[in-house]
Amino acid sequence: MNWDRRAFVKFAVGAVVGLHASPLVPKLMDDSAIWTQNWNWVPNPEDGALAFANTVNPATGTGVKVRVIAGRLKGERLIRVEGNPEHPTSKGGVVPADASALQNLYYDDFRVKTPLILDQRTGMHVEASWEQALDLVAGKLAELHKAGQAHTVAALGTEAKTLDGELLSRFMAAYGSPNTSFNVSASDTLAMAGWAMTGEENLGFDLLGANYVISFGTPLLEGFGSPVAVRKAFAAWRKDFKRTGTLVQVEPRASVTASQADQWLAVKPGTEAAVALGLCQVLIQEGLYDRSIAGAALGFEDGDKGLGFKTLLAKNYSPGQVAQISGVPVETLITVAKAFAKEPKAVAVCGPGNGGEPGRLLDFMAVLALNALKGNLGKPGGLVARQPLGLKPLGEAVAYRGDKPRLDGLGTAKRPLGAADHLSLAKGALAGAPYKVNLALVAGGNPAFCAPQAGVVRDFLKSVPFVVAITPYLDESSSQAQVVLPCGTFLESWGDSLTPYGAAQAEYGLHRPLIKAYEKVKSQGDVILALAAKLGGAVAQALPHATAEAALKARTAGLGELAKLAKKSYVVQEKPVYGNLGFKTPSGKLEFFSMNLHNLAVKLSGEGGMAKVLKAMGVSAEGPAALMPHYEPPAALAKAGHGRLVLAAVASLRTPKGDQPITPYMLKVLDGDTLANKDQMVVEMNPQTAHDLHLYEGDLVKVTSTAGSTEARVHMFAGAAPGMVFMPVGLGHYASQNAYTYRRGGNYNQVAEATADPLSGLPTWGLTPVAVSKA
Amino acid sequence: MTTHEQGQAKRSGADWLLFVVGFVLFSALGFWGTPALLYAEKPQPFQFSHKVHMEQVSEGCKSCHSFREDGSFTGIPSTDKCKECHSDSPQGDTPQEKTFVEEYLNKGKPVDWQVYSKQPACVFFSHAAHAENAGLECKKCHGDHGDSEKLRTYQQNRLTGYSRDIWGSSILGMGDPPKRMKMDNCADCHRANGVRDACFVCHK
Amino acid sequence: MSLANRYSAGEHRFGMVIDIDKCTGCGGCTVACMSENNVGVLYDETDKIRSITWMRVYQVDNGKPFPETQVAFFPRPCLHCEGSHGHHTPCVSVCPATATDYDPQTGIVSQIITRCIGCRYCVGACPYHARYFNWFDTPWPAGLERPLNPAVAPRMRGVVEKCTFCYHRYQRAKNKAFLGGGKVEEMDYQTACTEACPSGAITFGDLKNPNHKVAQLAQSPECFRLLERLGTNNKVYYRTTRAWVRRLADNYLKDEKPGQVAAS
Repeated sequence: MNWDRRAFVKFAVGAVVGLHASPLVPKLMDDSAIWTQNWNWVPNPEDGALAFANTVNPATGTGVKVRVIAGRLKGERLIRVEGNPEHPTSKGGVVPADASALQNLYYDDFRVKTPLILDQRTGMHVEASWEQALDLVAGKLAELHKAGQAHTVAALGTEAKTLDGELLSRFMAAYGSPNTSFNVSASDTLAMAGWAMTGEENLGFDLLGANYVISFGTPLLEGFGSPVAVRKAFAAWRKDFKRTGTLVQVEPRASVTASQADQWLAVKPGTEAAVALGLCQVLIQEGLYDRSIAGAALGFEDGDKGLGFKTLLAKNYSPGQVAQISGVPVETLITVAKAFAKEPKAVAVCGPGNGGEPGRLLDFMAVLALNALKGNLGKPGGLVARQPLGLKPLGEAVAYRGDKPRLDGLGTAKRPLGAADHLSLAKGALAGAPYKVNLALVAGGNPAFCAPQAGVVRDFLKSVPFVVAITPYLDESSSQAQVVLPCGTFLESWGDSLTPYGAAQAEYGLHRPLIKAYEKVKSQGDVILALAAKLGGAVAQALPHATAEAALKARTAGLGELAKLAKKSYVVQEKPVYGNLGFKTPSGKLEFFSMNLHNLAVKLSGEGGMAKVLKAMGVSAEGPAALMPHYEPPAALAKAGHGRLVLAAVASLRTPKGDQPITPYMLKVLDGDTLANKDQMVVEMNPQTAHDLHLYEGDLVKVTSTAGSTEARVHMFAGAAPGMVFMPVGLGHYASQNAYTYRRGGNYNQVAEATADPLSGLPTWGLTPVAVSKA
Repeated sequence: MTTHEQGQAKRSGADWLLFVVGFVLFSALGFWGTPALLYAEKPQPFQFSHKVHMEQVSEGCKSCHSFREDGSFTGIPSTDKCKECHSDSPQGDTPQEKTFVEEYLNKGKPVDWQVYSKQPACVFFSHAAHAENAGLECKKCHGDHGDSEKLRTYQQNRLTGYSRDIWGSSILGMGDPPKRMKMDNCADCHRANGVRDACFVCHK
Repeated sequence: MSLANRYSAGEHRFGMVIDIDKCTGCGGCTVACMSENNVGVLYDETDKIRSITWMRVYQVDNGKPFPETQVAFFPRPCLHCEGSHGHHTPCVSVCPATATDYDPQTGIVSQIITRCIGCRYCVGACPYHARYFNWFDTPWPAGLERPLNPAVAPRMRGVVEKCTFCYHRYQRAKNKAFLGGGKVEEMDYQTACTEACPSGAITFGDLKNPNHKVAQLAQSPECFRLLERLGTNNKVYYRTTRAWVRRLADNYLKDEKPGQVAAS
């Protein structure tokens, strides 16, 4: 036996056959197949005990349940936000902002995780301890106070009447500054309209009880009030394939609401109030109006105040005239008015604009007048007064006691009505008259991005030498701050939310910390309270609570035990309260001629100069009509034409509302007619309008207003009113350079121009004249 | 005779012995080498006697490995569950218990056991369906793990990360549960008992 | 043909009725589905060919000029086709790896990601674009892996995935039933999209159980299925009263009237 080639081959063949006879090959085959199925970078989420925790999303007013998984090794984590079927108004539904809330909570690249202080030399934020950051801010505040410059501190909050808003207001008033501003909303406008005509500020629309609804220019199904609650009412009108409710939508675009409505009245932009008044006129001329309350109202008939509302309607708002103004045919106006009158439970609805703007006071008054003539005030399916919730104040009222004027001019002859809004504050401060702002405290929101005409607020923050931001997110406002204090999202902090816009029942939502996702994050209230404690003196006295939780406990003392309340997470009145509105007006009656407005104007001017005062408030109508519901063409329209288009927003629940950043999931569900080619915003135009401008589908254009400009792609949509351009809201974040939302599209709020609404003085930015040119 | 022919003649059957040697050697290498090559031995954090625990509890396996109200199975008990019996000082005198109490129980730290029967993420296994509905005993799939005095060495497949118990102790992949817990074994039993075997019955 | 007889023998036939006249296209169902089923977000989701949405809401319009334009939405999950005589589900019949099957008992079309070889035959075979291929590994950047649902296995690149009617919820509901000795009731097993829809446009349940609402609603003459004439015999019914929406549900010739053309 020689160890030669042949022998070796025999041995080798034996070895190979032997190896194959062993399990090595099949086993390795099997294992490598499994290996390809289980890449170690594919996450394998840990299972564990599942629990549910109730809370309310303050951004949407939706009652939600959060799924909590308690893993044996990795501990608790929140895995999902879903609807809470027990919540009386949202009943288990959710919208994208609710269902994707965990992405705002858990996406590290969005979040501020520790206090940050700006390093002046490098221009970068560096991590700091709470002690350091709070000392720095409190030191600065104390310094300004000592120098008699307390009034040069401005605070920009989010919602005025929430716990966080109240704490901020008290803090600022006690510290000694009159300059606190908040987001303005349609609730402000509705409260003013109610105050002017009925003396009742807390009005709501009983949508669930109604079976005929006319919605005037407000995106009823895309951002009105609590979106889920509105949809639940809409669902009830179409339960089990039966139509028990009729929806009529008045607006210039074939929106979702317009398409889902039983009837769409396509109007010229900004003329919704004229339609409401036209319907009023039809009700009167057909004798279909309520005589007991509306007929007996102040200013209905001609009288000592001059022409009455009835005559005004007949003179200016005959169906023919309204058809001329709005483009809605006379016959349509008459049929709709008759159907509205015939239905026992019918309501006319006004609300926020498509871009979230607070709406126009005169429009709201026109809609209120229509409801009054319909005779549905305080009735099921009508306009109802909400009963107060019974929240306790946080202590004795604290008011600003200094003598410095407000930067936003609120309360002066120029702006007698209105609410403290960011834009007016920023404009006043930028003008530097009568003084400049030395320190700005941005609490909770992102006004540099979300405020009306955000560019102005951004420039204002840039001009302030010291900006402090209390926020969960790395956003356009906090990136401009010298000190950033991390507060939690609603899932990790104490706080509350109030009745959503237009709801028929009073609602109260509570949120509590469900998880500690980041070690150093605090509740916003706790940050304000900690600052107050550091400052001591009057500020600490005005804010005696140790924690936000304690403050909330005091606030909800009338509603029950906090621990129980927080676990349930909501208080909702069972049913709307029906019955007479009571009319707490000066005349004790419903008023078409508003005595409240009249008295205010008189107080400011003396009887003689009233016309001047009203002119300053932006009202162009003269005589008694100026204080009655009437139609004023929007200022933007006067400047449109001559090659200019009118810019309006597209309301959508796929884009965020208010201060919430857009989430990756929300970006993902945007269609190609909102965002295209990774990062290009898409604007809608009527094909005819595009054709007139020599634009084609997909063309890149520049949309320019006096406020700013942005680039976008053109999408031709037949449902867009001619002469207009429609833009999505909430895109175009540029501060946080994360992989998902950074520079996706442009920001509507930087292009839309805000103008002061006649009478209410609130900024309104629904319509903007723009030039559209090929980019 | 040519040289060539001479070579032919000299070659006897003994030459084929080399083939056999090669075969035997390498198949043996395959048999013994495969597991050695493929499996890494991973230590358990400390020793644990199921037997000792079984003697203490009244409801068998269920005393610690229980169902939650929603029908899901807890699997390895949490440290809190251990606390129901263990106090903050050891009850026995084994060093293992001392380690457990001092390092885990008192610190509230979970024990990172290596789990012998852990299935991959794509598998949905319902203990409720098997133990409650079908009335199978734990032993059917887990063998006498519950009576063991010591924890076996845990072997992990280097390639797949699976526990060796899935493929089974036999490297040939033979046997039925509790010796092996691959999909075929599940399917065989399902078929034999007329239980449906659509993909989604056990996959997620 | 009565509803139950449309389908082959088997205890359940889970299905849906989606009321298009109620759907407002908010995308709540899509997001709820993604958060339930661990569907991630790619860095560019405007590329809809690669964007994975098990439940996708398609917008359609009536093509009329202003002011007669109307839009409507078709939410589209996997339609869980049965095909004719109990087999021939389009995707199942082409899968070379048996990575997808039709469960004769529940009528749910499965998709087993670890078995899938990524050939994408099924993607081509599905007439509804309900199947999606993972062209990339889903990124779960910086903390976003924390909300992953342990009830559903995250996918790897190179495999196909699709809506499962939240089958894991059925599994969990059965678990509970096993323990309590009860049955899985209608409300015990509901898909994530059904629960989430704020207008209640989706009804889910067993089409074979006459007590389930879905079985009652699906009988309505206003209900129809997408591309019915393909014979996919699927289990997702849509409903509308608007003739133009109805016309878009299939490729009708000009002289054909929806509802009067027999399904094959």
